[in-house]
Amino acid sequence: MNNHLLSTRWLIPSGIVFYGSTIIGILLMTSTITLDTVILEVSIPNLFKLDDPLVGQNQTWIKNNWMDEILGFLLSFSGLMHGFSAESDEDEYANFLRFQALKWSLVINYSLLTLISVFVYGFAYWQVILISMYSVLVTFVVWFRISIIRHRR
Amino acid sequence: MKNNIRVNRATNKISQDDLAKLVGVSRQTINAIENNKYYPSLELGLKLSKILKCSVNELFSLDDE
Repeated sequence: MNNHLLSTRWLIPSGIVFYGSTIIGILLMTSTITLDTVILEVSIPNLFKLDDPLVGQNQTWIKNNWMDEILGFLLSFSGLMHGFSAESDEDEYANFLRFQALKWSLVINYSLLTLISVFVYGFAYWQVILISMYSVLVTFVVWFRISIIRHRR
Repeated sequence: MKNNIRVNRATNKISQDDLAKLVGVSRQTINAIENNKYYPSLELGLKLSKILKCSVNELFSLDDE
């Protein structure tokens, strides 16, 4: 049966990048450290031209510090690669554990998001949405890793 | 669903590790199947019945049977 998984050789490199960027992301959210000190300012086209008071509707090109975008890209891309790379002893039970982890991460995250949608408003809600973008992936990868470690015991 | 893999394995004098290698899964997967923590796919069920020299019906049965 073809599970369309990536090669096992991607498992460790993507895991290092994923856990590294997750730790950096959590540190940035919970401490006073910001990425503004590391400047990587690049002009990018303002494609959607939304009515954003911070950017300006008529501005075609905007200057942006790309550090947070790079971190977000690394977290998402490496998370997907790590979660969907074949294990060294990949078999149908490992695949079953992977989809169980995916199911529970969706159930937990969207249950929390539903509750938060009712009780949290304003800027705090925007922050919750930002966290929930990545928490589905982080919960899935961590849940699957714990399941596979317990399975191998 | 219950299974008789452990009994059939003992009859054929095959260890969990050997059976796992013969059907191409990990030893822990065979253990999970024997303890009813996981129901194998049809493909794996057929492979197990071939190795253990019995029919799938002899290996797996519904609880009320």
